[in-house]
Amino acid sequence: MVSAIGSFTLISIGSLQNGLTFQSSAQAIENANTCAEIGLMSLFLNNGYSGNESLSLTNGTCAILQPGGYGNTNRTLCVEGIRGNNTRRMEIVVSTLLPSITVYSWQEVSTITACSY
Amino acid sequence: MQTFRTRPGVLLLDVLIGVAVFSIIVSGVIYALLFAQTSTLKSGDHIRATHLNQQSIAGVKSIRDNNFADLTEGIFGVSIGESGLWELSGTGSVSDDGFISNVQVTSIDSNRLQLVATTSWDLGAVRIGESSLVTDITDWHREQAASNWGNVSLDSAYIDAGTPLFNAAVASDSFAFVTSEISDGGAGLYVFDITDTGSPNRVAEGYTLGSAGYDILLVDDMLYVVTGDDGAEIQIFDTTNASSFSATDRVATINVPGNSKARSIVLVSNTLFVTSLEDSTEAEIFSYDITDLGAITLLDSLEDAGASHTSIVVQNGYAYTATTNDTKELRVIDAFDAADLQFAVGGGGYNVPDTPDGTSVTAFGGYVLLGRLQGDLTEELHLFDVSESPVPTAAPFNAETGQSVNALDAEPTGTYAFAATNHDNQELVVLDIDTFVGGGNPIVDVWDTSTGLGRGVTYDSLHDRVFLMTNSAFIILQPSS
Repeated sequence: MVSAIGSFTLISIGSLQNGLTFQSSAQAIENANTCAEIGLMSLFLNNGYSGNESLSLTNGTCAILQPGGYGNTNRTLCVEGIRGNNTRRMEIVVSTLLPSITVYSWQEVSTITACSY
Repeated sequence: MQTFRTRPGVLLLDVLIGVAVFSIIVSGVIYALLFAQTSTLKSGDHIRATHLNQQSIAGVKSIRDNNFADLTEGIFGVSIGESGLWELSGTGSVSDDGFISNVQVTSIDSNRLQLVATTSWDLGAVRIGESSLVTDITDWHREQAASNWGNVSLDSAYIDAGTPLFNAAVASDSFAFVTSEISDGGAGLYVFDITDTGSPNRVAEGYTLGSAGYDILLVDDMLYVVTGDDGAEIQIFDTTNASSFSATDRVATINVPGNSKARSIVLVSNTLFVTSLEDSTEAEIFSYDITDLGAITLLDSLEDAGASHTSIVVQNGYAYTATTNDTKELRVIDAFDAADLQFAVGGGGYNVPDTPDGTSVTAFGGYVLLGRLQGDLTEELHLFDVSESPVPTAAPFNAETGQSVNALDAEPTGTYAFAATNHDNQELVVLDIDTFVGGGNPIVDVWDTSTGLGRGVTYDSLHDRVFLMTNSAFIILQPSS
């Protein structure tokens, strides 16, 4: 009986953690999105933008890796966002920067392979 | 012997203790169950709130996608309006299940806003809470219009005392790197401080490349130079200390098959494509994996018998080269798999009328522009629409420059293209692409210089300038204001 109570209690605490972990993970991806937005804006304004930035944000941090490619076409932007123990990473492939950014793909990845650390 | 009956009250006491213990245990179980249920509900509330916050952020991004200027500072509700589009309304929005959401928009700078999406709920004594997500958005969706290159003017020029025979240029924020021949005293590679584009200042004057420099590109701090060195046709330099540029800045080389035949390069991600002059025993197109500059590897090569490939550009996975092939002045190469180069399906190129060689190629917005040597019967400029098919299926738009086109480039909006020519008083020709496509004469302006032929041209997006390379000058041209 005591073990049943203990189990219920642990399950309860786990349930509470689920919601908080989900929120933390969502914030991590929003942090990654923040760096993606900043990275894309920087590339739009200057296609020689070299990345390698870490930003301290309200709820965590994010990092912009060194973009792949050069010039106005076929660029790759890689970012990661961190909130607590949660890290989310994204790779964005840009077909053209000017006259307006055309995104070829924007996907979350477990490991970044398209850009240099 | 003492018996049960001899201890009055024992039974009652045992029963009471038993009931009490049982009650405590049952109460614990019931409490644990209720706690578990409440925890699950609370967790669900947090997840629901997080979803609503994500939805609010997505709504604001949708508004941003349409027009960044539609977003102003304040606290707003985010909902779908009568038009079916996301819109900001009031100071909050309430979901069907009682969650109240809003977004606080704060300006960080002219291109960046911070969004704080907050959802709160009060669904009973133990189900009260608030959850927030914070993210930043920027104005990267906007479109940049081209400057007015229909009327070019001189910004500045470096005129050498000799005739270096400048070939090509590339620029960083503060420096321009310009290649040249060495046959008439040129250094092969020149470095200019262009912090002020109106006053280029040559630096590292003592440096010489040791061989002719041809095509050139800059990726971050790494400078890739195509050279006439037969053992190191591609040379890669670290330009971190450009003002004191020297041979010690060279970090890697590539010995391209053939002797001093490499002429042009283009980089896509970590793949470097190289084209070469005709070699009877070697291929003319090469791809290299440059992920690790300390271990550059040849991925593949492609032979085009009898043809030199003097210029290359990559667009949408296809490489376009200008060639001396009399029946394929424009070659199209399927470059999706750099380890398996093939001429593109559909003929692998385009045969423009007559036989003057292709000399240069550039690409922008679904078009490929080919430049050729001067032809008595044909024009020197051919604009192909490749938006539907990578290998042109329709005849190109044509334009006459009167003399050979030696180099081409375009500004990234695809509004204007630039041609360096052998024409005596039109060394630079500015082309209006809309007019070109409309069938009119696309030449909207020219630049005349007395410093020799137009040998190379580069549009520099960092400074919105055109670099024109001639026999003895590195000329910086600007659009009209």
